[in-house]
Amino acid sequence: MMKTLLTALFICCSLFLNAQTNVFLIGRTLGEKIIANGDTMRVFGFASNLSSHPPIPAPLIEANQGDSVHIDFWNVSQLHHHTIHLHGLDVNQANDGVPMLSFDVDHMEHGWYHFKAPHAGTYLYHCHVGSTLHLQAGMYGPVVIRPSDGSNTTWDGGYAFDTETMLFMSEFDTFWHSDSILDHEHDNGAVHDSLEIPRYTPDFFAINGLSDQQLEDTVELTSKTNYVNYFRLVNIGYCSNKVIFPGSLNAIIIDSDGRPLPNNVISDTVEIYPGERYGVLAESSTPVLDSIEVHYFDMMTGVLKDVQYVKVDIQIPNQVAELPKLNNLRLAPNPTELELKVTFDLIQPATIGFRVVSIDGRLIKSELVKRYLSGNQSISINTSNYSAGQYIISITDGTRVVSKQFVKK
Amino acid sequence: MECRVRKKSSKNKFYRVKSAFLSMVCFISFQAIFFANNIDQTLFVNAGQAYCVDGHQMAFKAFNSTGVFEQQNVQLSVGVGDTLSLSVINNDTIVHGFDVKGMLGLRDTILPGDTAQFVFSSADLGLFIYYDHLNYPNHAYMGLSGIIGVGINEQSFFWNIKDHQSEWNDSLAFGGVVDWLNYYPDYFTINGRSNPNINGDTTARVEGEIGDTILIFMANTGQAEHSIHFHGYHCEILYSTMSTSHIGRIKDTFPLKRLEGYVLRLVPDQVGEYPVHDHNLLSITGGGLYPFGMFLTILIQ
Amino acid sequence: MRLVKIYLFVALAIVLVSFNLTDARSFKILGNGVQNSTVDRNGRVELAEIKFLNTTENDLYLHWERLENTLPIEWDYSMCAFGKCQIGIPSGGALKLISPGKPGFLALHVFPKGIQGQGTVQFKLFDPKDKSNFELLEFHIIAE
Repeated sequence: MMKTLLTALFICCSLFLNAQTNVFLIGRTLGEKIIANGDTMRVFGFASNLSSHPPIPAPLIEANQGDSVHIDFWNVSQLHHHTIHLHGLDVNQANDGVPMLSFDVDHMEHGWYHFKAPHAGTYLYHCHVGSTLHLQAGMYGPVVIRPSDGSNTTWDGGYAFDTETMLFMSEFDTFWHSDSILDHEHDNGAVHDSLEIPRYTPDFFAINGLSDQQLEDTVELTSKTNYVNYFRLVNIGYCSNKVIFPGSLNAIIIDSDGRPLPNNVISDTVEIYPGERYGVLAESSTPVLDSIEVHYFDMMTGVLKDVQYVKVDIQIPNQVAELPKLNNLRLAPNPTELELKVTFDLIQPATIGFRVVSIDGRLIKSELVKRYLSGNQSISINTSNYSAGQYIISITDGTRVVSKQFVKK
Repeated sequence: MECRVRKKSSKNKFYRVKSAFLSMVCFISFQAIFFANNIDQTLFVNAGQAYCVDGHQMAFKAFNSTGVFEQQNVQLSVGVGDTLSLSVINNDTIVHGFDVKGMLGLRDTILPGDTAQFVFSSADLGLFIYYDHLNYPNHAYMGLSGIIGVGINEQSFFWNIKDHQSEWNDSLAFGGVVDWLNYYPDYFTINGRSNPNINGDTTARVEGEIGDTILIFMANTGQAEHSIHFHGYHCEILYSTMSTSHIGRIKDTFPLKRLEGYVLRLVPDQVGEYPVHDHNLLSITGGGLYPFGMFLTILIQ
Repeated sequence: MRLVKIYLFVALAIVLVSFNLTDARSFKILGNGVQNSTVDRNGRVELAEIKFLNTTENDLYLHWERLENTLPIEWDYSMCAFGKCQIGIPSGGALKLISPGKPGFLALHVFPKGIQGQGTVQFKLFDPKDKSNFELLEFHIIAE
């Protein structure tokens, strides 16, 4: 009896002291991604639900330092087996996701991974089966371990920040996404798959899965003067990167691979190689409308292959705080088929605008609607010709932007 | 860090010594010098055929300890303050060079059949790359590059990282010209071996126990850049050829530019077998096949 | 005698037509073409599957078409056809080659996500070389 009570007390204390984070991910191999030229490219990936194409990068896994993290990985992709390697998290061998040293997950099987969240920082997860192919195919995502109190601080006792932006660098070689490459043979009896790897000639260079015009339509950082902005830089591609911040952002490199640097480095330029992560603080006392340049270098030749630009918009905070006018945004039905009804409450008259963006950043529709009186209002959006997938609708009343996701079936 | 490389030519009876700092070095390094060893090593510049992981052969050259060709360059190891006296014999049919990267101005060329002598010493832990500087990068690319590790302990390991576009080896061996802007290697090695054979090299395959202090002397003597990622552990940078600002960083992924290297300290805190590999995952291939490239494991009991 | 000849001719014709009808079937459902699943609203139907067999001596390519989907829109679901696991339930597609005497399948995965309800997904499975050669497959899902 005493033993039972003590056990129960121990479990309760453990639960109280160490929170548990549960993650459910679905492995997919028939995903679709719209790339910068408007084409649809087949991708592999990790999805958080059955009805959506796997996003690239994959969904964020986040936990606080000290939390117990449990990942249930369900592989729903005939012909292929997969794993989840927790990159940089120093998990034990059984949970490391290397198929020949632990286990792999075949179609319709579940694989479970457990670890205690270590040092606060930026990490990754990716498939380690046929990793050269599967990673390029899209099976990668971020892991963010926050300080033990979950605050907007880089680590326990670290730097507080006002905004947080992740820049996830990778490339796409569209030939590597063709069926003949992705539907490679798999030998269930082999220690690990022996695969023919084609020559790598990337034709799209991405940040957070977006490139070229897609990035043009996106502002990755919108902030205020004298705000501390924390950038999490990740390179998951096969090129090396130089990330060049505008001088006005006064960039300081403070951490790498989940550990603080022994000495901060004041530098506008961060060199980041495949698998590395860096944390950078940036702050400006004056307005900035500029771009962060990301250079992609071929690691075999050193030749510059491409440059992408990440928009940064830093403004002076309003002298007089304006009350938000728009509240209680609702979408129905969601998922939608033919028409999406957007309803909201206005506490004072406002001119309403909205824009719809696909989950991979492609601008679908942008419209300044009209001036509405206060009260409950609605907008109907014709979604009949939208492709199936996930979208984000952003509504603005001129002072505030509210965004919600919806699914087109 | 104070290092001295003194070149002694068989044709020149005069020696050049950094006399301006000699007395200070001697004073500071008194204990080390008092207990320092003198090590003699002969290196032969040999030409031959290297075997790739899939049995493919390519023309290759290496610094070996005898006149018989081996595809792995000699790993030179010295303690802090030790003196390493090198005799380098050109056993090939063309002129070669010898240089230690980072050492000021004391390089030499060696005619076929000739011998050159060098003296190396370092008062601090570190890593130095010795290589054939002539016709750079061609001779070094053909295989003539290796590691001098200073301050090794009883659990030190060496990773001499290379890459090759095999048909270029054969072309260069016959005096051909290549365009490095179109370089696309098909074989990736550590100490001349690829996966799974790297694990059979006891100087490369890290083995130990929890709490051990393991040193890894890692250098990129190839033509491509690499990014070496550790599963299971973070390592501390004790020495970097690229910048002293890297010292003290604790990381799981280490970028390696051409002719650059690190000394890493690994203190394992868990048992298991964990991969280490290039995270430019193209380098895990060999002859176009995954995973027969730059991939090995660490085993901690 | 003449009547006997007529009767024999008609009988022979019927037999020949019957054989032709029999030979037109290139696949058959294994078990039931209707799959019923009941699950707790907070649970999951990870696999509801209907199998079918290639009854010919040749490789068989089958197509499928979604005829109906009345699953609640709040549910999360997708399907696998033999050879391909789809995102959601598309309007149609093709199966991987089914070898002679071997089975194929259509399968459904459904997460009710805490929403009580029920729904039906109906597919038409057919041989594209002969669209009259088809079967209807139904999945009924109830979340309580």
